[in-house]
Amino acid sequence: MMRASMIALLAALSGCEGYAVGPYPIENSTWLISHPETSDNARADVNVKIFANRDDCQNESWVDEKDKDLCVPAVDRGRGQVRFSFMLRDTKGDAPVPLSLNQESVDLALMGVRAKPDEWDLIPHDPKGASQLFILVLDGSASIYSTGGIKKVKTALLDKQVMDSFLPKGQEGKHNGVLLLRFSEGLETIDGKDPMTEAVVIERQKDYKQMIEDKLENKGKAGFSHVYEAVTKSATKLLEAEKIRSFLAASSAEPTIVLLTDGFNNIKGADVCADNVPRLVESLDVIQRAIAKGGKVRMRVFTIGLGTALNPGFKPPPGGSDAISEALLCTNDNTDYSKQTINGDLELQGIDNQSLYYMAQAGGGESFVRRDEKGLAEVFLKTAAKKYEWYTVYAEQNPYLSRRSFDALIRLKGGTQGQATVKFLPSPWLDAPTGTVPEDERWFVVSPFRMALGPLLMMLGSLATLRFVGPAWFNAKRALLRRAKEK
Amino acid sequence: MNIVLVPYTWTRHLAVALFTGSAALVAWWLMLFGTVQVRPLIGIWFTHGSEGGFLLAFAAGAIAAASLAAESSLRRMELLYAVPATLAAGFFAFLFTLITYAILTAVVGLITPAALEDLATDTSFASFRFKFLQWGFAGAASGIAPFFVRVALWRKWLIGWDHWGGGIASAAIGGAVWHALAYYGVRVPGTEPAVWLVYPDMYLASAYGLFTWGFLHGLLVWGIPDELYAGWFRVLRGPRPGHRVPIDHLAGGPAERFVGHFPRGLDMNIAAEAGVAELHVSFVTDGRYRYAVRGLSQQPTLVHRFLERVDLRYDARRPAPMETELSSEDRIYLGDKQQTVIEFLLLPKEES
Repeated sequence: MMRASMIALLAALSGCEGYAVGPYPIENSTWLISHPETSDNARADVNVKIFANRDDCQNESWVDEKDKDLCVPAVDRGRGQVRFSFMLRDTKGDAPVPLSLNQESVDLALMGVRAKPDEWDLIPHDPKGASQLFILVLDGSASIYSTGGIKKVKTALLDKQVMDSFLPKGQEGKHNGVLLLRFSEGLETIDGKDPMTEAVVIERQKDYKQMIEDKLENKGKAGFSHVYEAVTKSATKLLEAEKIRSFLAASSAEPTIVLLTDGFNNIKGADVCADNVPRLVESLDVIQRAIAKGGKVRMRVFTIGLGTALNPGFKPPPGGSDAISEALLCTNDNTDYSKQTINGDLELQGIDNQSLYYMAQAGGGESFVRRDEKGLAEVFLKTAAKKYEWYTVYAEQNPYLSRRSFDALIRLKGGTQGQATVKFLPSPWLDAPTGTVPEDERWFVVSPFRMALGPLLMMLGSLATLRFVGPAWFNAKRALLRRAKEK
Repeated sequence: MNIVLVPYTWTRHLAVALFTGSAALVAWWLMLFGTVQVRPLIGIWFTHGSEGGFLLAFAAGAIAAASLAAESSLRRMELLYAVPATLAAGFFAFLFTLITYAILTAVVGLITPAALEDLATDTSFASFRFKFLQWGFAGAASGIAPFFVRVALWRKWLIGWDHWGGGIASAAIGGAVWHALAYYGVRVPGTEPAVWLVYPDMYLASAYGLFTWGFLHGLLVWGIPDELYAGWFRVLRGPRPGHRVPIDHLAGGPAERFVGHFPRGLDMNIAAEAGVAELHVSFVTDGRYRYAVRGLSQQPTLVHRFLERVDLRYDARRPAPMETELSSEDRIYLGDKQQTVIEFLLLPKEES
């Protein structure tokens, strides 16, 4: 007996584990969740930190108390739904990096299969109230005036929603500004001044509207489109200009560079596509260094092409800017245009969307190609989109697949790179009460454990009742039919 | 459990089953409570891979203990014996399940082909196909442990098949229910969108699975034995209504009780005016809880039971009186006008 007890004790002890370093129990469930693995990819711009337990959420003081429950992972195996939250951190300083993410800028994969957009949802939390300086760098080459593109830009910039997002009214603690620049062979303000010395940061919608209405359609200095230089200059020298620097310091604003062009980067008339390869690589290096230098003040670069992409089917290969080559930058559907002249030839065929993509990627933003005013306005809104401290992912898969452990991979795509994986470990034996879905909602709400008392008491009550049905029936029958009587 | 509350009808077969089923349900809830509520609080719990072993072990222990608890309470055993017997059955079932689970898990890992290794080593993988042996051995444990405790208690060798086979069968069916309800549910045929009688969900499936195991264990492994009941005959109509006489001797063994109007020596005297002969019928038991009634008189004697009538009048040409085996609540009509009715009853021995 003693020996048997010892064996039982040993077996019990050897079958126990602690949860200090993961896997962690998922609250109100029988599942576990592993310690998240952040991408060790050296090219990651941010660390994606998945909250694996309540401690992770408690440690983040900016997660509101009322949102703490949303922050912790949750599961509902009955519906095949899972929930987890994540935030982004700086790869170096570990400081929070609020970003504006949506389903288009994030990939989710469950069990190695990329989730379709209708199978998951991304819910942002805690919009960041930091001020922004929008540096709009608009193409001033002749083509944008001759094709009427400048009118589209004007309409989009004067869109009420765009103006409200650039220069919101009555928002406490926010102090946005807009700097309107034009580039061709040089960089100037749209009223023709030197931005390094005479730039005026517009802080009121009224001034912004007047400036655009009065000056935007004025032609600047003619010349070739120094697209790369316009971005690098805006990201470096311009930010160090006295007026800009003092605005950024006074309002604690973060610079957002929005480059808009309708063609190619070309410096001289004889430039061919291949000439742009070393220039682009060099420019990306400058942008990346500028971002790194910025530290906690995160500059972002968005690029917009107005017109048609020369290579609409462009899919960036792995390797980021290291993969840039003639073949990548100057090939479209096996058509090699590396030796084709840009001026008067390539620039008429379409926009160099590959270069725009790489500049936006290096600048932590996104790249777009749009053809009309509405599309442009939407893109401007995106550049001014709110940034959020953390996000909650709701995802759904066939409940049958929850029969085994599975990975959930969250990967940022587009401008900012980063990814993290977490493993869900369902219990193969038991489950907590199934969640409920509120009316007109799609995603589950965790059911408290006390719900499990209901079925237990109901079943035990039924069993106890059944237990007495036999005697009760027997006695009732005898009372009615088997009464002893004299005759 | 109380034998007084278990009449000798077909429902008595369910009494222990309901009890052991309830014990399995409580084990399920406690394990769930521990996993969901206690685990995050104390920060330590069974490893993910051994969680199933502990669940099965708790369930097997609870069912085995409930089986012994039911028996000891029905027999009104002294606590000095009842409590240790119950605990021993539970403990050994728990221990045996845990050990076999560990061995089986290791063996399954060793013999699994490489193509299935991914599944076999996934501690979250839920499939009856991969857990069948674990369920079966847990069921065996829930039968074997009470078997040996009963052998030790009653100092006689019992028929083991009830325990061994019943335990395995009940757990295997419980496991099948667990799997089927967790992943397939019960759908009303032809409904689109689906209308579920039982929604496919591991939450209640685990409860149903363990309950099925416990319930079938109570049905198959140990039922309430006939020795806990005693035969009586009772005047249902006629003189001395309600008067009743036990058939068994207190010490057990064969016994015969006589009914007639002979004034001396009979077990039940009923007046001749009620159609009863001097020595009319006798009730007999062979000492092994089988009862019969014998017709000793040429006076009309008719046994009534559902869809059956048996005439027991004595036939002088036969060497022995007519007799028929009795079931509880059979009625015996005496006299040419059936003036007297006596019924046979099996009542809990507590009332003897």
